[in-house]
Amino acid sequence: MASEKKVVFLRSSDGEAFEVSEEVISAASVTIKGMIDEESPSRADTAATTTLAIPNVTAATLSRVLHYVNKHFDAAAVVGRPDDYIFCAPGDEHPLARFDDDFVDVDNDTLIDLVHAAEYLHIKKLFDLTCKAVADKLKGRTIDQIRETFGIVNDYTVEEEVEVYRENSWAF
Amino acid sequence: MGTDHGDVDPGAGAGAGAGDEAADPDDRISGLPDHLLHDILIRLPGTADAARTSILSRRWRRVWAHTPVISLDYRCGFEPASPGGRVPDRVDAALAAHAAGTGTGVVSLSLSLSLSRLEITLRFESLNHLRTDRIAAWLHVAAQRLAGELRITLPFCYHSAIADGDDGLGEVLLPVCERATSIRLDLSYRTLRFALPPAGAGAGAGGVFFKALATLTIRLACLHARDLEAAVSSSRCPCLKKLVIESIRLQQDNGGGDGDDDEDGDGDGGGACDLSIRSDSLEWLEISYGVRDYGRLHVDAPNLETFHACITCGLCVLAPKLSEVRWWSSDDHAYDSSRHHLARAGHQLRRLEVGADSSGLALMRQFNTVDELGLTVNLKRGVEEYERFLKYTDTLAKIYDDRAWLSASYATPSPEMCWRTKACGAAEQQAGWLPLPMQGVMRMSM
Repeated sequence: MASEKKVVFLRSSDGEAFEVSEEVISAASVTIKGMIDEESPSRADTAATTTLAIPNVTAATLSRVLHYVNKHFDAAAVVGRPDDYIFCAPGDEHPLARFDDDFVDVDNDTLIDLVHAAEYLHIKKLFDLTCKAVADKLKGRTIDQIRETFGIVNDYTVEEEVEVYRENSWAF
Repeated sequence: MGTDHGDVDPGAGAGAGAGDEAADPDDRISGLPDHLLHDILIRLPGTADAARTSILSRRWRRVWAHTPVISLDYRCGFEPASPGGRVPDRVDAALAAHAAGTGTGVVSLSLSLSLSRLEITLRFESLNHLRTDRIAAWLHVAAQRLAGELRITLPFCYHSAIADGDDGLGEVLLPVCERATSIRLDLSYRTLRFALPPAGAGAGAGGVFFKALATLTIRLACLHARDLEAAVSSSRCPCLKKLVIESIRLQQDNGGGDGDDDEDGDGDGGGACDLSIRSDSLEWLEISYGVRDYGRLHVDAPNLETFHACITCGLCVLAPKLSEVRWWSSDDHAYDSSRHHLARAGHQLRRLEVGADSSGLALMRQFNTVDELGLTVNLKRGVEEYERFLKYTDTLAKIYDDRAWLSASYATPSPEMCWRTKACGAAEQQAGWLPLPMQGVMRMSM
């Protein structure tokens, strides 16, 4: 009876439903695990599938998040690696490192949507990854380049800017 | 989410309310709540990178100063000329600016935001004469504000200057850091002292000094043996689980005048200095002495499970729960069962890690019941080398009595190589499989 994998549906803020394995999403998202645990008493009838509303996340972002989740948290999909018994040569990287790099190689808005979603859904690995990716966009750039990259408008007066610079001169 | 209004700097009048102003709709990043910006800024390489964002716009002016992490890293090479001044001054300014940014001046330090990490790395050559009173001020911040991890790495210093008795260079005094959970100090052979009250005075009021400390790492430091013993004892440091003491020099205790002159010449003779580590909570101990060795090392730790050593001095470990031993061997650091007492005969280990040499064999004879054996192998190309290794594995098979399958896999220039053979005696049949040269750790489960 329990042999069938349970699935849940997640409904995005714009109304699109996505199917995902209950086991996988529970391992990934603390928030959704909480929702499922709350639902479960009323789910005595195992035939019924659950649909959970995810009001803060759009379909575009949710589908990306689920792509990540299926890659990272589906035990069957994760590539096994006998790292216990191997002497790792430098340059070896985690098999998903490449996937992660590509995953966050997106425009700023998409990335910031992912930060919000990872926080709301409480997926720590994804939160770490996306915050790091934003930080990487700040890293090694001049102030003007950062303003340009993110569309930040400098609203300091000239005097103020000099003052702030003076306050933080140790950092330059 | 979004409840950070309390944190927002009133002067800037922006903060989470950035949306009220004619904020550029394209500027999504400035619209993030403060706590998310903190999560981003702490992932920059250092606090200087975070502080530079204050120039971006009013919204950003004080965001960095509310991050719970300070990481100041002046790592290698020569100190570049900088408008921010000399590095020690910049460290002072950074700590002051961070404290000021949180709205807490010197007066109310205790009310200020706790730091989860304070990391200061100074490696510039120009800092070789860094005075320890500067360092003391930084450690004071740790004592006051840190509830987490402290990491201090100091630049090289000249021993001649220390030997000349210039106290300003030589001694680092670690204050009581009640809330620190992890401390890592790399002092380039400055002397580390702990600010413990004199014996007797502390007996009654005594008190716990490192209440939360679970991990203590001390690298490249001179230590007074009695000082260290007192600092890591269960009464001072009740939660200590992991102690790593790497390349240290022990100084004879301060019976008076510090006896600086015993530094030279007498080696392990009259200047020998015993060290005795006693801790009820300790689970992991790594120890290596730098330069030369000292008197006996005693370890009395009822909960110790893991012991890594690189020493030549006499050793006595009392640890009934010992389950993992790693012995870094070299010609100077051979294991000698007559001088190194690790456990009763027949003690079973979960894991033993040794070099493929006679010292390793001696340890294997001592612990011939292990679940897993890690063997550091360094084989060069050539028939002789290979035959030597086969002979070695024969001995190994005798010790372990042919009783189990050994399997080993290792990465080599040809990582697909996987060698699997019944015991080691049979290795010859697999000769074609054994890749040479080979360097790495072979792990075998018994």
